[in-house]
Amino acid sequence: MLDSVRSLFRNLLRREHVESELDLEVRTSLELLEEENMSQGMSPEQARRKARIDLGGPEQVKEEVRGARAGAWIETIWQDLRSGARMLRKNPGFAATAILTLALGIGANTAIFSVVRAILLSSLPYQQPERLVNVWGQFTAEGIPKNSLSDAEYFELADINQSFENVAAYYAHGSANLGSDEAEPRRVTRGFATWTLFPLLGVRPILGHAFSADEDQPGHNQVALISHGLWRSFFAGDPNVVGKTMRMNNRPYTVNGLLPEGFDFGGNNEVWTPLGLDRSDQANRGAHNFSAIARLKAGVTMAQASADMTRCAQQLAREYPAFYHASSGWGVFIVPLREELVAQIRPALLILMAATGIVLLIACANIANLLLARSSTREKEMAVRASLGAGQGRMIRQLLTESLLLSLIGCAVGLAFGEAGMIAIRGLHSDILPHVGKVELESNVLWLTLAAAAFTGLLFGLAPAIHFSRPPLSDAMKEGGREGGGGRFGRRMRNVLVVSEIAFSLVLLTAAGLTIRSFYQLLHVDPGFRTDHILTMRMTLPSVTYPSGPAVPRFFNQLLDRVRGLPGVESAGAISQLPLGGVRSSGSVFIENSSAPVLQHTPQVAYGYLEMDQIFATPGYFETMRTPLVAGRTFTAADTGTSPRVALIDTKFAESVWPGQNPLEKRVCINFTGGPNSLQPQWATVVGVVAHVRNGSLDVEGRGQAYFPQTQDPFGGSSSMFVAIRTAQDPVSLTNSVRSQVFAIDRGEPIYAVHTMDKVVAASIEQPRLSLDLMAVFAGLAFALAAIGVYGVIAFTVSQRRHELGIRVALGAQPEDIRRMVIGQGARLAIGGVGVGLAGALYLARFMAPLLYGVETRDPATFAIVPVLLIGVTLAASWIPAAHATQVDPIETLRHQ
Amino acid sequence: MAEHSTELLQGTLDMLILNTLALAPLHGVGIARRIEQVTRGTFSVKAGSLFPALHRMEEAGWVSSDWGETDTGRRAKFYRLSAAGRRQLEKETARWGRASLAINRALGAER
Repeated sequence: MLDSVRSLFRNLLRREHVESELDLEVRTSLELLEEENMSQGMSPEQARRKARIDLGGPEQVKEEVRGARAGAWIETIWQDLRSGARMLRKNPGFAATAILTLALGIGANTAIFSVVRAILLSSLPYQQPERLVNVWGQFTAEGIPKNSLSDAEYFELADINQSFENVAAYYAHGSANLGSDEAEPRRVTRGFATWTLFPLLGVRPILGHAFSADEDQPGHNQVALISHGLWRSFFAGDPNVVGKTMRMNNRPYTVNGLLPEGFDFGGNNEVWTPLGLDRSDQANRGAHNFSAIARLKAGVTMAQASADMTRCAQQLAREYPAFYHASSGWGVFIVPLREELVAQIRPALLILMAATGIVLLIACANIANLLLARSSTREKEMAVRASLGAGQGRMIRQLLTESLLLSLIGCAVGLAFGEAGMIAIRGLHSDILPHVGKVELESNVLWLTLAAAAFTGLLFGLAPAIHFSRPPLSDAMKEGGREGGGGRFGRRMRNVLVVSEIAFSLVLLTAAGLTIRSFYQLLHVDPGFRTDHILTMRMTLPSVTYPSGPAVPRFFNQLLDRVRGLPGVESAGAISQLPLGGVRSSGSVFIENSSAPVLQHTPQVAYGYLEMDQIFATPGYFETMRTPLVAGRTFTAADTGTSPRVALIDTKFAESVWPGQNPLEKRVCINFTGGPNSLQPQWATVVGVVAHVRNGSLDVEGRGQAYFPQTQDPFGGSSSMFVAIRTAQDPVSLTNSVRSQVFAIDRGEPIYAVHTMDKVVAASIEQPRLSLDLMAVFAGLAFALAAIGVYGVIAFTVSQRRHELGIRVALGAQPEDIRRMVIGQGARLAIGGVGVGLAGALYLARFMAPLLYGVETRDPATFAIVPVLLIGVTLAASWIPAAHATQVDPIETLRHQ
Repeated sequence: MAEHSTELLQGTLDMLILNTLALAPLHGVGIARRIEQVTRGTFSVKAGSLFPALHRMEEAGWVSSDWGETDTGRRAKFYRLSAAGRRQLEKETARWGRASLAINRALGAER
């Protein structure tokens, strides 16, 4: 053992001495053999020859001895690494291309895979999250496939189900004015939940305690759990925060506890308060306001729970036939929580992951091509090394070390790219990508990337290594000087690689083309309003200070008058749901004297109804948004709480209910007075028709719309309004003067969600834009890599065929002939690749369907342009080597041989 | 003679070399000759196997080497058995005895 260690050091540290001694030993042995042979009567010449044959070549013997020494492997690897590094330094162009190619492929993959992992695969931070399900209602026949639950439905489901260990109802998208005597008032995001939510999730506050059942009673629910972020920003990280009082919507709330950092159930709410639902209140069975989450009992499967929900729905329908009549398609169903969170984003992510995978494949094909081309030019070098005693294993090892070195450097650079990409991705808003803050380079991703790099290096280092260490040396020596095309094997392999590169990039380009076309369609949708020069902001008046009645409209009237007086303001108005602003409210609109087939009916009321967007607006709103007025008038100051009720409807409403008729002076109703048995409709007269507006998102046309004056809001729901201001100059510049007008009226009233309308629209299409950007980047990468690949192969072939081309020119071939021949090679590759790629793209395009708007998955334009583009670029890439080929000087090439 | 020469079994070369050196120190060419002689030409040792084996055994401490002169006055590297090498030889001889006995029995039983 000690001897071995000593030898190891001697071998590594005193290499020169060891080497010279070895050389001497082999030489003296040769001399001894010679002497022996001469003593048997051979001539000196014969004796030397036989001695050399017997010994078997001094260099081979020495190499064998070196291989047997202690630490030989260290030395070998070191040598290979150094020679590999030397090779890369000698060919900086090759090295840079290969490393950059790999790095781009690996970087893109690392970033995207990390995102996919964080979003689709990471586990949710709750106890046994796989047993958590969301509970939804539905009225399929009324076009409502997924509906929130009402208080009564929640209580009944909680009672009669047999599958849940626990159920909780919540509303996660609230907000509140958070008062403060020192600072400006601010708006905080707020969730409401039944007390069961936190035990159900298995989440405990890190300070204080969660809600108790008693605190979840109406009138006792002025307690709050606060987020870690609010604790830091508003309570300055006060460790004694529990028990303190905070003022929300001008009501005092006691801080019950502090939620753990990163708790983001239902979104990033800064405050949670108990719902305080009233069990005895049966009136609001139709008010579907709450989401519900449940924990399955141990051993209950999804299928069993689903069947149980169907049973519960039937039981409810028997008990309350007026609400859940047979024709409504009423049902209750469950969705696993994870499914709920990622269902929307999954197709986009999977397609992006496929795209990056394809980019990595193309990158690998390119590297393989580069390595193959290069190793064939090194055939002679390899043959020389073999004849000097390098064993086949040793040569394979050297080639492998070189390509591994290349992939590892590429991998390192790629990881840096990936990290940069992830920094960019983390900057995105969590509305687009859930859990985006948790995206980080995980060790699994790192290992995967390293494995991919090592695999690439091995595979494409090995193929040429095996190939070129196999053929008889003499052949290689002969061929190596001149042809060295890598033989038929190398040529065919390179062609296959380039064809697959072209095919892969065609698939990606098609995907990108479809995405671009879809996005273009989206941008050219008419949303029903103009987006430029509009500043929007939101305000919510707390009911303590502004009880329902005239107080709320009076505030907004006052504010709008002040704003209209500001310099640079052209017009201003307010609306309860801003288009694309994230707030939707709809309800039944009953129609007088209509039998249109689209209308629905309910036994309690004699009039047909339709589910419509119900929106409350002030005068000046439609003028500000430039929503076209098709007929009649918009709201005016004369539409007050005491004047006759009026309504505006949109063109979609008008056409579906009164096709071919004049809708003006028809009557609609959204609320009734009187008891359940003597319902009195409160009719509003249609005084105008405006253009249809895309309220939810640009890619969905949406329901018909009914607008009512804010002054005539029967529900008091319009205390939360968006103010829209049309300006002559940059709308952002008005923010502060508008804010001071608000504070002049009410010092405690915060404004929030301040954005230009352009920004609101852009934010609403941020996810498709992200898909588009990433897709375009990947397709561009693929495109560039394929072009480099084609260029590389053609250029290599031309350089290998210089001799042959020289002879052709000498025999009278014209430049056009040469050019045609070279470009023809490129064209054949292009056509092969495009053919294969088209077949693949036609098959794969169907998976794009969920991402596309207004474009067929087999969009003829995309499928026509992309192949032409690719063939064009391929031909261009072969043009440069073709031009080189025509400049071959026959005399020089022939002399060169 | 040459056509009867056999490839050495894995591991036997070390034993033969150690056995050869047990008599007297020898240089590489001499060791090869001696092995040929004692096995009556059954084993011919190639320089490509002999020298790596010698260097390996030297690193393991079984043999040591010195430069010396042959009978004919030529310089050569002489290898000599060390105490550790002698122990190794005993171990290998015993192992070989057991193995060959077992193999012979197995072959006999086949017949």
